[in-house]
Amino acid sequence: MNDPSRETTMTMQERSVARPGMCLLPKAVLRIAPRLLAMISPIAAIVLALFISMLLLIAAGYNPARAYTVMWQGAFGDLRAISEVLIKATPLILIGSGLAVAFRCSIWNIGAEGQFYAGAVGATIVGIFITSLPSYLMIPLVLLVGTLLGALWGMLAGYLRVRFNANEIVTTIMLNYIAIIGTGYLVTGPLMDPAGGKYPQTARIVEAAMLPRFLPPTRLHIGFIIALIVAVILYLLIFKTSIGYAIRTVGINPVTARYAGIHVERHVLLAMAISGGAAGLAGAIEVAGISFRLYQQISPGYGFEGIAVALLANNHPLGIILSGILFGALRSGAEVMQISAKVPSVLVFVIQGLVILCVVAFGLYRLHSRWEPRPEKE
Amino acid sequence: MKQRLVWYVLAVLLITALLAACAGQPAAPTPTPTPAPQEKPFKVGLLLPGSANDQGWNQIAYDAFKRIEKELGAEMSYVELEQSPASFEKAFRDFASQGYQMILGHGFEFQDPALAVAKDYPNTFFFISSSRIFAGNVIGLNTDSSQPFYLMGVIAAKMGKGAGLVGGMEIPPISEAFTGFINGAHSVDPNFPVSVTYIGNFTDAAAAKEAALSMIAQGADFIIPNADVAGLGVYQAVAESGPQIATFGVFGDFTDKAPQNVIGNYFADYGQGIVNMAKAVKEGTFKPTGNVEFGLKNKDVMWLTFNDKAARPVPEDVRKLVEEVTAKIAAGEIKTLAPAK
Repeated sequence: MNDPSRETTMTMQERSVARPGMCLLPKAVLRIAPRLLAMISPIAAIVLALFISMLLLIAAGYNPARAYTVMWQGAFGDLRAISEVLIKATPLILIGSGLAVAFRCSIWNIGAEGQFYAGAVGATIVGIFITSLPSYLMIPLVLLVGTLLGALWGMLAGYLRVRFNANEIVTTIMLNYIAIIGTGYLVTGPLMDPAGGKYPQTARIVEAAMLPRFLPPTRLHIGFIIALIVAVILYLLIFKTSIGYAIRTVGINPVTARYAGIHVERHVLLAMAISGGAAGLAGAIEVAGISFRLYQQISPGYGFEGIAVALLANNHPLGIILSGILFGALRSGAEVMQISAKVPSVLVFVIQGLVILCVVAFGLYRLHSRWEPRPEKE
Repeated sequence: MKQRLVWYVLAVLLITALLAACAGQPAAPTPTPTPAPQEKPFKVGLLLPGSANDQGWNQIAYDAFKRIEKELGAEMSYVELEQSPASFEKAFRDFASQGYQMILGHGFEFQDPALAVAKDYPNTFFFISSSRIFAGNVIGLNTDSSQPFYLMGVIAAKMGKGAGLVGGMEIPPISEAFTGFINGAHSVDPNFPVSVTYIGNFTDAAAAKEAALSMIAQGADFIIPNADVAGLGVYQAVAESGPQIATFGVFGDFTDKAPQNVIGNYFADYGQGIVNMAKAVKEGTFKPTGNVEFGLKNKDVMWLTFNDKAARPVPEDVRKLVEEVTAKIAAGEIKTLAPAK
């Protein structure tokens, strides 16, 4: 009676009997269908969001067909547009797949923004002050230092959590401010560009530290490839290794994990280090691939957008590649929508927000509907 | 059971919606290419690092572009980019590739991206706010506050015993203005005492007030703020310290904050400067030979007024001197930014 698999088969049969129409569908389809729907639902969410946005655009007096056409062309119209989408997706994929590890461990790391800045600062310092290395050493070094600093910044919150049981949501948010304002201090003070007009920015990193671009004349740099590799590695880590299994177990139930002999604290720290490291790497890549120097503000909120990216993909790193590209396309297309369709940015932000809202709502509905009809309750 | 049915219905609905959307796309009224216009439209693009209606930095440029649209019949478009260096270069390219003749990046941080794009679009002018860059068609626009502050320095040294300057943060626009003040004061009296303080932010009016009060206590009778909102603290301090203390309104009319003490106001209208640039670009008279520095020679961009109702209005002979000095500065005979002692 307590065997869940028996229950499932029984209900399955009941259903076939109760609804003869369903019998036409093979059982395999029935089994795959929910999964398929789980994969379709993000798309459905996006379609719904775009539909609501369409009504908004009409209400505001804009031609939605034109707005969406422009948006589509802005994101995927030509090679350059596509490359720009991938450039914007790069930090989102890295941050998102890092966050997936933390979220799988039930560690709510809201501090990817700060970890991104930490990585960017580390990469900039290396890129400015180490001038004599060839690029095949320089680039790994820059990325490594960025990753390490991001990981350390993340582990700081992780340590506070395991040592003092400090809520990581609070500490990571606070550490964001420290990282961002600290960066502001560095670029207006010790790291300010000694040449050129006293602008609050650092000097440019050396040529050897700049990431090669592999698709001229576009700006697409190898950072995107690195992001893909990292996402795949994190996927393997989460789902195909014992470490990942332990992390997931801690996430589902730390007490059980401890009972099973898993060192909970160590895995919490590890999850924070991985997610911080990925965000730090994203920061380093942004400096070494795009901006080549550090400004007071170098992220338009990648760290927070990364949360939505991870949630949209249900914390699955391979899905995060897709959702990262989607968010990159939204961002990129939205800019062109402002420029060419003259849709004001507030409306554009509303559209972006609607997409996130719908995605989360659909996700919740899915969880809800999966959990509610428990056999025991029937 | 029910759940699954709901999903099927939903799926069918969505697929139909998708199909409809796909089918609808080509039928949608795509923008028909406009028939060759008699005159090439004047198109201006604006890149903002923040919100267009922030009542501050970004709005100055936005309002200016709205004026360009209205007064010059230009086609104007803008984009808010947040602080996203990754977006800057693309936005420049998006504008330039659509034939915009003038693009303004509103902040020094747009320098690098503009340089990267500009060489591909030699017929477009890329302007950069608060920048001194000049590279072909990339032109920095800057307002030189050291010039009006030089005039204030002249007035202070003519009328007072000592001056105090309260700055927000020690950044070039502020420290250069103060350099101008010191140069101006010392041009009248090389030993005129000027003390300078930076409160470290642009918001703490209480700190600015404290700084002003301590300067007054040390004998300064001419206190000038350059600290944005925090500067209000200086006007309070001055108003409370009696009519013998003088001050200047900086970047606006502050007469009502201390009617007895404000002997004049300094106005800067960077937006007017932007409009002037657009006018020159449109008429084809803009032939850049260097970066653009708005100063006292641009009378509609930067000017001083005097308050005759102040307790110690600026005397006639000093006003005359100010006029002469203004002419010399405008002619480039006086370098207000020379390194101050």
